[in-house]
Amino acid sequence: MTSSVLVATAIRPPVARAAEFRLTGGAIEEGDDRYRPAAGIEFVAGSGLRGEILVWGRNFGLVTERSVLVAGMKSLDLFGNKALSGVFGITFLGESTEVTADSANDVKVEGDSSQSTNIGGVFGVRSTFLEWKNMTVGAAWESHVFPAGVGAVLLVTGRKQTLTVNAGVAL
Amino acid sequence: MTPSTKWILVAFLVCVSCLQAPKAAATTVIARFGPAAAGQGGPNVPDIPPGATDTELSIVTASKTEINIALFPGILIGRRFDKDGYYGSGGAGAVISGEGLGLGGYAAIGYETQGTWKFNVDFKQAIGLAGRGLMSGYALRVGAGVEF
Repeated sequence: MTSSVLVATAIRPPVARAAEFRLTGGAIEEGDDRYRPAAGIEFVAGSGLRGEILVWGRNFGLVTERSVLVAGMKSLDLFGNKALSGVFGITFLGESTEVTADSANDVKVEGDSSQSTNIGGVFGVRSTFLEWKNMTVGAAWESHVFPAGVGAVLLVTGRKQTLTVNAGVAL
Repeated sequence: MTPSTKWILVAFLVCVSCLQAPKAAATTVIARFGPAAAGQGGPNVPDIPPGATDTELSIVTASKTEINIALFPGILIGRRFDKDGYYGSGGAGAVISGEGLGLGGYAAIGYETQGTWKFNVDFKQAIGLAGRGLMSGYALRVGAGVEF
């Protein structure tokens, strides 16, 4: 009985609070243990629902890569600790690779540029470790997991892992 | 009703009561199978039958302590919080990836059916620090468990 109450208490939704707008910055890892800088924005509703947009990219030579993650998540006090919450939801990935040709070295090959999209699930762990007046500072560790084509039936997936810090203000 | 019939009826009711008595919390052993990402571009298609890199053994004690033993993402000990079959867990341990061995933490989310025999699906992410930097493996696995 006691354990049931404890479990129910641990998993209850967070106490409703004011909506927040947050700026997010951090690193993203795409399966190779290499981290790249990323930045974004986040909106947190008082009910625990949150929306996140994260963008990153790189330029190397004639190639420009741009990627965006758009995720809708729900927070739960999953770990029995108010400072640490779990989030899960749906995530959308858009990726663009543009190959440009310059006048000095026209090496562009037809079909080199590409755009791709995917939809998957997101799971993560979040913490708000500083609250001052109407401002908050927190951190998040999330996995955005996407089915990898026909391999999905064998549980093969692709992942974008994010390690971010965020600073927000209550609206 | 004869005395022997009464005894038979009492014995039957006792047996039924025993069967319906609340069961004490017990230890669950779960075997999961599925590919893990070891920091080298993502998971590969699992072997059929699953090989060592595709397999994980998890022991969940009555006190909800969770011991996860796998080649990837590592050997991890933590605590599980659950409700209605859904659970989240977190802890720390030895994180293993293609880069080697490090110390770090993990977080997992999953679903497990109730009963003596259980179906389990689990997503686990781990991050560890080794001499060459951060290692960050993950695994999506399904399996079956039995409660002792």
